[in-house]
Amino acid sequence: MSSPPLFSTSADPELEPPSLQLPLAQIPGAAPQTPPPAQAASPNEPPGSLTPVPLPEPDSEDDEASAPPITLSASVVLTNIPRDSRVALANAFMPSTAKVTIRLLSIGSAPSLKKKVFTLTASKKFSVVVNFLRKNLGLNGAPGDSGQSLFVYVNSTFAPSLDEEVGNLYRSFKRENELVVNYCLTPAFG
Amino acid sequence: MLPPTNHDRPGSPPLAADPEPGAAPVPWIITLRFASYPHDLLTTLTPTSTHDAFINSIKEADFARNGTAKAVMSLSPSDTRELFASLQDHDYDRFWGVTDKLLNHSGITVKNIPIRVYNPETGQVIQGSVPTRQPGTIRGDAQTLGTALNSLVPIIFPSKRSVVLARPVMHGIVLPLSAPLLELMKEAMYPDGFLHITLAMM
Repeated sequence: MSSPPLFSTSADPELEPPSLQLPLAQIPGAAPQTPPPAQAASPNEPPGSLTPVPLPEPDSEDDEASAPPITLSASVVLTNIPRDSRVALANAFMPSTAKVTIRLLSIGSAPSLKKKVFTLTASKKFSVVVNFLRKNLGLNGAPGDSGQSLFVYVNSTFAPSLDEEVGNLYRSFKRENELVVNYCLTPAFG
Repeated sequence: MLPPTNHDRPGSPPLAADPEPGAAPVPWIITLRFASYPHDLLTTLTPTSTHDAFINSIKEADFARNGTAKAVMSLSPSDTRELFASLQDHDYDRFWGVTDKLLNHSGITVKNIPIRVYNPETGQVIQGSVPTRQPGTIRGDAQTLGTALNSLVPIIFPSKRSVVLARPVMHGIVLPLSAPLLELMKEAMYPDGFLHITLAMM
């Protein structure tokens, strides 16, 4: 894992390594409470930070359209703006731990489930729903066998990609605060 | 800062051999595999599965735009074939010949614009359907790219008018936040009907 950083701005190659190596460095006794990289984005109080510059709060949502959180003069002082935008990036895309409600409805000859309404963490992929259905409907074949076909739709309309996050689907397609998923053993909604 | 990989899969070589000393950093490392296709992770691509995935994408976009996929469902079989063939042949005019029918379906006015914003470091996606007109404005002001991104990803786009942390990019082009969103969709949407926006961090 001693490979070079994926991204480095050619203008300031000296700036990136300290922050990048921070979670990897095995320095005895060095800052044991240093957060792992995924939590480096935690909004408050980077503890014992080895980076000298205090990070601004990029996730304040109260400001009006006119007030950027970092002024131009501040960006001259803060020598590592790229790191700030990286923090904002990590915050903006932080996997949601919220739960979304999913209603599973059968179509045609597909057997119904006894319990039809479930909750699922928003950051999970749609494939989790499909695999859950396959397992509970007993469609998985023996190992090495792909098993029986299952067709899964949202709102009786389209089949999402397996790698779409259910949180994204919920945000765009929920109905009465439920993501309605229909499933079928033969193709429907051509 | 390598992205997560499947280097724990059996038979995989150790990850990321050390680069030669003094060599320039490479942007990424590619591992080619000729066996052990990960069926549990990747769909097997066939002409049929590719076609179905495409059709389902345009249905998803149509549903996001209009709250119904009526426009796609009412395409004639020959139009549907033409649409996929135009994509295969990279034929812009034939593609828009059919897609115009989707965007201007009789009796339907576009309500929302489907957008996907990508994290340039991890590939994570934030998807949303943004109303064509800004909610809460008295005159129903038209949505701009800036107002849409501000509502969808406020942390990255705290301002509706000026870029602060990242510039939005589509088709390799940096877009102005003032671009009217509906026009942008009609001129520059991707073949699946979405605006796929990645971020050039500042």
